[in-house]
Amino acid sequence: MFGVGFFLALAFALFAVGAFGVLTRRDPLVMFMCIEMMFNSGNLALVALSRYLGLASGHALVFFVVAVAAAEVAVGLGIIIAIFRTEKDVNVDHLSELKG
Amino acid sequence: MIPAYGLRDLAVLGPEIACILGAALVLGLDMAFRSQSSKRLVEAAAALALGVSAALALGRLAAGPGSAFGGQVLDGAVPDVFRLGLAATGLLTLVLARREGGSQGLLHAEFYALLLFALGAMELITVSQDLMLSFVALETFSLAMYVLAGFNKAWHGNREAALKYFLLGAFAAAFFVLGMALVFGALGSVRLDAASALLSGGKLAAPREMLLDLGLSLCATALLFKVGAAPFHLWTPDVYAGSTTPVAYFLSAGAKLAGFGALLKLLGAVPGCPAPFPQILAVLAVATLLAGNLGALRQTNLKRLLAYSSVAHTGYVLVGLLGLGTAGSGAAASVLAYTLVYAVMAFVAFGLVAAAEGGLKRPLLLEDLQGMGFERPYFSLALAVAMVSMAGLPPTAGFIVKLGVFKAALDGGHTLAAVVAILNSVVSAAVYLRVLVALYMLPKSPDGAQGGARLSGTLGFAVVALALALLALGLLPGSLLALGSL
Amino acid sequence: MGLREVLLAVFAFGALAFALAVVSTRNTVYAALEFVAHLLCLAALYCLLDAPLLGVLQVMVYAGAIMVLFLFAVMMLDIQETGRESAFQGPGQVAGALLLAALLFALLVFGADRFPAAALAPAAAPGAPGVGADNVVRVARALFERGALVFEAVGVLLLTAVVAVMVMAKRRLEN
Repeated sequence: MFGVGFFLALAFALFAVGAFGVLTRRDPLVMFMCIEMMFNSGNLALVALSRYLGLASGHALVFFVVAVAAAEVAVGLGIIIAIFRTEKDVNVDHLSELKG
Repeated sequence: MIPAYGLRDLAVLGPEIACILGAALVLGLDMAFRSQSSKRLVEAAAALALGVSAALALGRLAAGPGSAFGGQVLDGAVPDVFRLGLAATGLLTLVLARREGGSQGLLHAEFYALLLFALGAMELITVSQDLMLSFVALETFSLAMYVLAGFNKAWHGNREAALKYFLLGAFAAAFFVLGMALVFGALGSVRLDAASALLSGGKLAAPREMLLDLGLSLCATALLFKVGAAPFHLWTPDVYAGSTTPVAYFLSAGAKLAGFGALLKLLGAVPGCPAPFPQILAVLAVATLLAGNLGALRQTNLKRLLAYSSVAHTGYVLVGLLGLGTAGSGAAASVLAYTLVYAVMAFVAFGLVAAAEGGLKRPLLLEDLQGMGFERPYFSLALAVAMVSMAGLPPTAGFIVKLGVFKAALDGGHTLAAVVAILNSVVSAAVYLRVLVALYMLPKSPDGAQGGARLSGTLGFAVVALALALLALGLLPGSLLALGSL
Repeated sequence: MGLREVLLAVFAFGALAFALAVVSTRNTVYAALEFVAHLLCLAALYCLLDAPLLGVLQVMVYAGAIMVLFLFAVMMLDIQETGRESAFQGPGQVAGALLLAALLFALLVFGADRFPAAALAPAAAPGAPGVGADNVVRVARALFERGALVFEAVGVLLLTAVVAVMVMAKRRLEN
């Protein structure tokens, strides 16, 4: 029962959960975690597919994605901290509150 | 087996390497000479790097298509013109930054370094044949752009916009990762040439082709965010309005060139475009057009107006993209021509905003332009040319390239999308007409800005020259049409 | 069902359950800790899927370094429920997002349906060594030979990120 299809389905489910979190949460840190969750779902799919295909090059791709994600976290948290330090309570507004 | 890469491979990436070495040079110069005098030096180094990058891109264009790094990189006429356009956009951004620098604290070496890194990555994504390489390039220029968008002393009003921009951008990048994984599953690699070889082979098991299409569509979604297409356009107005003018220009023109360069590579790998994709793209194109033009109608802040106009122009380019896969529609050339001409129109418009903003402590409003028409004739004429060109009316370059994208969509069989796009042109004419009316027909507003809008120095020269170029290309469209033969 | 299957089931369930917990917890610190647990489950799955190097990497880089950064940000900003009406967007948007997420999931599963059999590139030959054999050597080869250009590009990306973060920090000093 644990074929590659199972892991792809799991990856898709994690991707959808992450997307749901990004769209509904207001705390930018939690939103950012949900984005990382979506990155990880892609990684999980890559690992499962590499095993099924017998190709280690998929692992190298995961390696690169993790490096990119780490850089993104550094910059992203930098932005979030820079914003929060100047004003304590910044939420990401409802999209409808965007000035037209 | 260790693949042997040599100087020949590096030569193909010359334009990118020039940008990245330029960024390193800028950082080094700033460290070596920590003084006021180093600022001009840094600026000159950045301009030099971009000039070299443009020259190398021209050289590559003359040298013809070349593949490097075992096929991971493939240039050709269209990518080379994109690279040339990106380097030119970078130079124009420098011209704008020079004008704004003093008043808004832009003259830091880091600004130039980030700009050069972003341009290097943008040029790379237009020649990359490997989705992993594209992803790294995409993230490199995105990270630089997130920070550039906040490169503003008056950033306080713009915090949430910068945050939204970052979160939405990272959200879109996640689609690229999953898409890449699916492509890997279908191909065993993430190479676009493998994808096109497989798809044109025709003897694929249908589900496998579906998986590949799904993966490529997810990757395309991430790129659509970068060009500000419809469901993702929400970030543009706030971010542009909160950014300094040079950065707003760079975000709109640079991101369009890089994003559409990458989309052409990606969708070009799919011969005949798989069934659901053109329909989805058509819906997105129409939604983007409506969102941009209807949004622009309501704006009084000139930068916000230009932001919505940038979204609308993305819509027109997407309409042209619909013709992709139909032989003889010239879709790739129409997309290329439109993005290049947009970069010029946007420079003239943003350049004039920068000129008029000088000394103004608040954003430039439409009413500030009232009565300018005869008081500042050159300024007003240049702005009028840019607006007429953006509206896509003759005799300007905007008209010629708009015809190109409509023709591509019609040849591709997307009549409905083309008709909606043409109707949108009428709406957009109203948007730009408001600016012209403010310039020439309305009396001077008592609250309007006084004394600004002087065209002088490099910026004035560049704006006037490019406004004339828009007219010249509209009257003598030979060189624009020549792009079609690339 | 062998031990491997039991472990796979446990960690797959754990990954999904902790993911749902991250999305639904109001408290940011708890959410971060649940996210760590989620990442550890994924690391275990990687090990079970013949990717020991990535499993270790996941623990060290993701669950370790990246999450420490997150927790640091959470602690530094001290943003727990203070004066916030809700941790979530309004009910309308939650419903919309739920619909959208379900649609996304359905689309992905539908788009990739029938994947186990014919949807993928030809699977490894039955006799060939699995991806776990000589894993580190083979990943290193993929990284530094075919992937050399991407590796260099990642270097540029990291340099860009360093400059970008420096800009953010510098602005704070200037203000």
